Amino acid sequence: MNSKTTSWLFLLPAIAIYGFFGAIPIAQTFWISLTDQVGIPPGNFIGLQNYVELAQDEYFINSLKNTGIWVACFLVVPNALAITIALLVKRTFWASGAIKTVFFLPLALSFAIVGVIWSWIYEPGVGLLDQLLTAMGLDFLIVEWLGPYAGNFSVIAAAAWRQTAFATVVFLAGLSAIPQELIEAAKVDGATRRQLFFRITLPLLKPASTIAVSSALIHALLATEIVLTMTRGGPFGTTEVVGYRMYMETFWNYKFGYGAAIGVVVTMMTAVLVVPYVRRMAKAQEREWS
Amino acid sequence: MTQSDANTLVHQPTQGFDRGTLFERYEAKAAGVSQTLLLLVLAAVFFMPIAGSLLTSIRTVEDITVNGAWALPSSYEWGNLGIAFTKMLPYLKASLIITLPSVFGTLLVATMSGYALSRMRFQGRIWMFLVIVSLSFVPVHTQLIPVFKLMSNLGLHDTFTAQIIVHIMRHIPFAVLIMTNFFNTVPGELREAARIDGANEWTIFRRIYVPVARPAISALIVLEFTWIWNDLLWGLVLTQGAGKKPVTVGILAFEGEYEIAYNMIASGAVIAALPTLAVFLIFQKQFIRGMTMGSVKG
Repeated sequence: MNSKTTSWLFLLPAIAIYGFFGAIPIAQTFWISLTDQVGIPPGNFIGLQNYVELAQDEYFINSLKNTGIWVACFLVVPNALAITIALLVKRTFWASGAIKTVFFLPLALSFAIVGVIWSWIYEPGVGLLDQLLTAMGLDFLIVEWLGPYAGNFSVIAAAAWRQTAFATVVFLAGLSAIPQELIEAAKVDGATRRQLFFRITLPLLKPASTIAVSSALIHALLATEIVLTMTRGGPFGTTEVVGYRMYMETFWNYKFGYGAAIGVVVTMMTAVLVVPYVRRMAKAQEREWS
Repeated sequence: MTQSDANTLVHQPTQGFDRGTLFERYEAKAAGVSQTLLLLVLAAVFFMPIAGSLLTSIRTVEDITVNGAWALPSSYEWGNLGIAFTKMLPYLKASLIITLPSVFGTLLVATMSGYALSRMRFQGRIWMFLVIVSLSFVPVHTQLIPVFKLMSNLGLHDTFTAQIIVHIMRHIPFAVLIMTNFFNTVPGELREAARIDGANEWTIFRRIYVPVARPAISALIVLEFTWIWNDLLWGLVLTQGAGKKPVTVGILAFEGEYEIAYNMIASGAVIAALPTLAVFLIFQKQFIRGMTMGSVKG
């Protein structure tokens, strides 16, 4: 047996499992989105009608708007926080072990757990947040956290807590990869702290930033599990996001065709947003192989 | 005295007391202290949700309503955790039955593929790589419906098997990516040497490359365990009765059952979070290594 055949034999299990249970379903979703399928039995081909309907669907447009807010918040908040934390941890030399663990810990928790914990934090009156604010004399800040106005932002904050943990890991790794000699050399040349940060640290954090930003984008775009656990889209759909809408249309309303169309839209949005990341990975790989 | 101190003395002997330097030193120290403080405050804020849950889980509801959510327990109700554990036990078992084979399957398949991909020298290699990276980003939303349908047709709805297969499928791309990248760093001479000794591909893979890849494999095991254990969506979609539901679905049922008994809900959350928290705390190094090796998900 030559080595080429052996290589393909080694690849076979992965290709078979992913092909049958992953790749074919992707293609099927595109097809189902063009039908009026309800539940499991196949529906009739209706062309792009699901997509036309989506464009006029108030609930869908509302969820799209909320997803937009998710993306905007997620792009800035967790990443800015994580850079700050990573820099602080790096500068405060004794802040190893325990402090790092505190910042990393949310990564071990599922969105189901994060949702349950934060629902209790936001509970009006008796919840951890209201009580904390009251104790600090800041009770004028209290709003109905999971109410119609603040709801979307409160759910985002809960998810951002976990996302910050991820971004901190990434940025700390990025900071550690910066050669210390570079910093020392710049210091010897009389660079100020600000110059050090903007001219050396930040540009060299670019690979880490790409990772942190893509991850934030994907989580913001999908955000299904946390909405499902915390608010189920309520009150009055004010916390509904696109991924959750897809789940509801499919598994609650059994509109499989319509749900598939939302799935396709979500996938397209993801595809557009991760292109820079994939490109960067490919470039790095090509460099390594050549 | 260091060289630079000596220089200062030589060049500025008449200036005497250097206010500038002293002020700068003071400023740097103040900055250091304020940074430390800021870090501690951030850490405290960050830790609050977990601290609050732990605290709430061992109190009584009366204690919480009377003394407030942040008071120390008036009595330590360890029994809450016991009740939560008993109630969550079937879900914890289900999660274990789903997660362990899924992790094993993913690792087995991905290690073989990574080995093959890193050894192959064909033209379209970069495209293959691009496809795998892209697949690791595919949202579940494009696969939920057909997979649900397929599993029903195969008679696998509401089984552990369905969930295990789906988890392996979902995690293949990421794991293959990590393993390929790892095997790319292993020198090819290792293989040539074994070849000359007459070993076949499978033996070379099993006896030489798998042991060499131990750091990557252990990192992946920890990561995949956490991710698969923490999945919620597939657990909801692919199950019907309570018996096959993972603990992520279980905690929601638990929350629904206790509604405003916050101490019990917190107990449930603590019990449900314990396995992944323990794995994370024990294998933090592997977890972080895996994360930075692939850095795709989170």
